[in-house]
Amino acid sequence: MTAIRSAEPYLEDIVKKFTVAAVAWGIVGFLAGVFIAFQLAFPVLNLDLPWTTFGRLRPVHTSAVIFAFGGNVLIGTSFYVVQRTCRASLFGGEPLARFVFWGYQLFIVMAALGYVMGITQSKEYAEPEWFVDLWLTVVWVAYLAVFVGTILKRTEPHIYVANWFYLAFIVTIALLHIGNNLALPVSVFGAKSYTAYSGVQDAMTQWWYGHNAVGFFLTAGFLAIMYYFVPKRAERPVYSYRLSIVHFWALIFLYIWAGPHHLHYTALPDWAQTLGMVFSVMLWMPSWGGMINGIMTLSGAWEKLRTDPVLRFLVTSVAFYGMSTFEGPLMSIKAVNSLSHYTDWTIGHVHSGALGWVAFISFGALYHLVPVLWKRPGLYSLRLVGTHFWIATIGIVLYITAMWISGIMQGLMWRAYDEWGFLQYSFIETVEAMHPYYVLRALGGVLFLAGAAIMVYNMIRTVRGDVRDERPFEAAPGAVAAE
Amino acid sequence: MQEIVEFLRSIWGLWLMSLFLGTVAWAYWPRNRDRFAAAAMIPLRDDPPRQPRGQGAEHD
Repeated sequence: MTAIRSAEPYLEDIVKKFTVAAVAWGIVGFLAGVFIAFQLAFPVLNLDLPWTTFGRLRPVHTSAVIFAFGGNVLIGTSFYVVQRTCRASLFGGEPLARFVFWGYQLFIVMAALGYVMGITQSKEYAEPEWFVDLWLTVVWVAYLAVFVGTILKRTEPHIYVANWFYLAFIVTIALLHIGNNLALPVSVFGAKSYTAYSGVQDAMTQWWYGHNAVGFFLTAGFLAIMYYFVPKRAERPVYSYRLSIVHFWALIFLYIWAGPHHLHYTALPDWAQTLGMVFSVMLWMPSWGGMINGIMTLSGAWEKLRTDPVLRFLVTSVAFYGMSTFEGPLMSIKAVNSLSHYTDWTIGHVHSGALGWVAFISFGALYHLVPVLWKRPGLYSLRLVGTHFWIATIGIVLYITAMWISGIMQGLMWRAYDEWGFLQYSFIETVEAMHPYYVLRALGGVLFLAGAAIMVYNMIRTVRGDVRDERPFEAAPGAVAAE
Repeated sequence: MQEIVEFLRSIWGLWLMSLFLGTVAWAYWPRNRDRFAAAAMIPLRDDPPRQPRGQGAEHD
């Protein structure tokens, strides 16, 4: 092995910025989620004001957790990983990277203010209006330039697989963002625009965007985190690099076709619905290939799960990934979808992926990054990481079980007929029946938020250089016999 | 020409499958074993160059 050195030092200050932003937006997003969960259980919390209704706050929650929390984690870790695995400092240097950072935060603030004010183009997960979309395009192209430029100036001959996943995420999101947001503004100085598509084309474009945002933002990007941080934390190479190559190409080729499963039993042609269903089911294979690759990286080092709660976050996230990528294909089958569609089951599925996979792998990566970036010997407290892990896990389990029960109940009530062939329940009866589960779900969210608050405290103390006086996880070799 | 293109488009499943099989063959080709084994080690030897020249045991 030859010692290859990069001439310039890695830029880590910018990764610090993204780390802080990710944690801060994470708290905002989780808080918004908890609030709207209580709104569903207790409608009086809509406060009778237009700015605080569920309809306006829901995109604040989704955008804050996906684009603000997830996005900052993704861009930040990508800048960290690409420099280290390419052995090159960021292309464009500090100024371009800083433009990406502040440009992206401006996008988030503009989007969120728009939602609260009622400025929206009403496309799920693509709510910002045309001027915000244009700004994000500029920032995203700069991001692409930094990332590709760094890969081009690499001194490491091979492009590590995490960078492939990051690049797929960046390129595909650019494509999806531009494709789905093509719109004609009503006037140059007005916020309102009309989409370029109409009718079923609009719906299909929207869900081509929506599902691939799941596939390439929430999956490919976070798989890149898995392929770097799980081996790093476990201190052993990924289980099979060859499997990771097959995983990458299979995932990329299959995901792009799965969107129509969001439009089962609609005006979308039947062949397109079937195509979406078949590709969604096939997608199960690369998903599980990737999950096996991530989890088996620990093969021979399972005891680290007991001694390193940060690794526990990372590995549990991969297990949740396996679970929700099994549930997803199942729900895309038309017969199952006829029960699950438009119910809370979908919400439960999304959150087992979002809380269990995306957030957990982000927490693991952030816990790993903070001591490294701020040059501390370790975290303030590993025990508190363990506490965060269990509180958050219980929160997720409460959340998804509540949604499974209420979702399946809702689906069954909607399709129940009485002996004369009339619908057995009115819609409002199904809403009333869901109330206890809505309360449970909100409590699950409170636990998840509490865990994140513990993380913030732990990180602040770590940055300040404190070390908590606590019983370490790893017992000293001599201490084992004494016990 | 038009007919050829239409025929090739109609068997897109075959193209996708051969692309997939090609990827698998490339990934698992015996001669590529060492290359990929070395690539898997990249994250584990990625610490930034901190020491100035002349210090430590490394040689450039």
